[in-house]
Amino acid sequence: MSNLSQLINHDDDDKDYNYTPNTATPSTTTTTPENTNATTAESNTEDIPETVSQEKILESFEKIKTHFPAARIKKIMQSDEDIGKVAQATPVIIGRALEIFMANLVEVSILEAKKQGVKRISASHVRAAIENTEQFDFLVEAVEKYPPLKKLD
Amino acid sequence: MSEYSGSSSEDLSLPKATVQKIISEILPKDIAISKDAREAITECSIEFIMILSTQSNDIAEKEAKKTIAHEHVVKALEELDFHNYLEIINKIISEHKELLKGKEKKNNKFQNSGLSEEELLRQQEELFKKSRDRLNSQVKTE
Repeated sequence: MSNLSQLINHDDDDKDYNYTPNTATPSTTTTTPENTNATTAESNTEDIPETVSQEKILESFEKIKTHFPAARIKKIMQSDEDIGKVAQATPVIIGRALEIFMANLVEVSILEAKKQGVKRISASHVRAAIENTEQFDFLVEAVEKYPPLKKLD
Repeated sequence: MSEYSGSSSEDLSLPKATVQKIISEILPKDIAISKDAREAITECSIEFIMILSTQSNDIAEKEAKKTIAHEHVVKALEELDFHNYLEIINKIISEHKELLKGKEKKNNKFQNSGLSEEELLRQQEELFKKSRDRLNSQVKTE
């Protein structure tokens, strides 16, 4: 009981919000992305795997310490009027499945960025990652609005 | 009571701060992510919740169950070709078994309330009736 209520009551109030963005403040001394792109593209292509391994997903998933509030997951689920009652544990499990999914999606997106030799994931990388992963077929439409990845030649 | 009428589709997204935090936990130190990419991942996450819920719901319905239980979610993941998630999910579920048991215990406590089953059923019916009435009056006022 206590376990569950902890999970459920874990809400997104920013009380202990200590996230430090590693994107917002570009470190001042490094070169521009274009430059790193040009210099690392060649040397990097060698060791980029074709797909993301199961181990990699698991490894990423285990890094996740933050969980989604189950109440919110439940609300999103039930925004579809066909969805009826859900057991107490169901949104918790769906939340955890979502974390694996996110680990998976981020990893394949990183792969797309690496293929281009860049260190910043763009929406186009996410789109390409989805288009290149059979499991993510159901997402193709959702990312159609983002620009396709420019082909490297 | 009236929180229902006020819900708009806008607040039915995932909390931005949580999404951001999770992504930053996954990302290696030398990789950054754009705002657009983060939004794309959030949208995909919601799609994932919806497809998983719908599939779980279908499975529950096929089994003539009124409540979506975690078993249905596991089956749904399987049917949606997310076999590779099952190992982790099953581990999490067994870790949560206590949680599931905890619920049973609570039910038992209720059963041990000293009331007979008939009495409990009667009370339940009353509650059903109350909520039906409430729903009806809500529909009327709309």
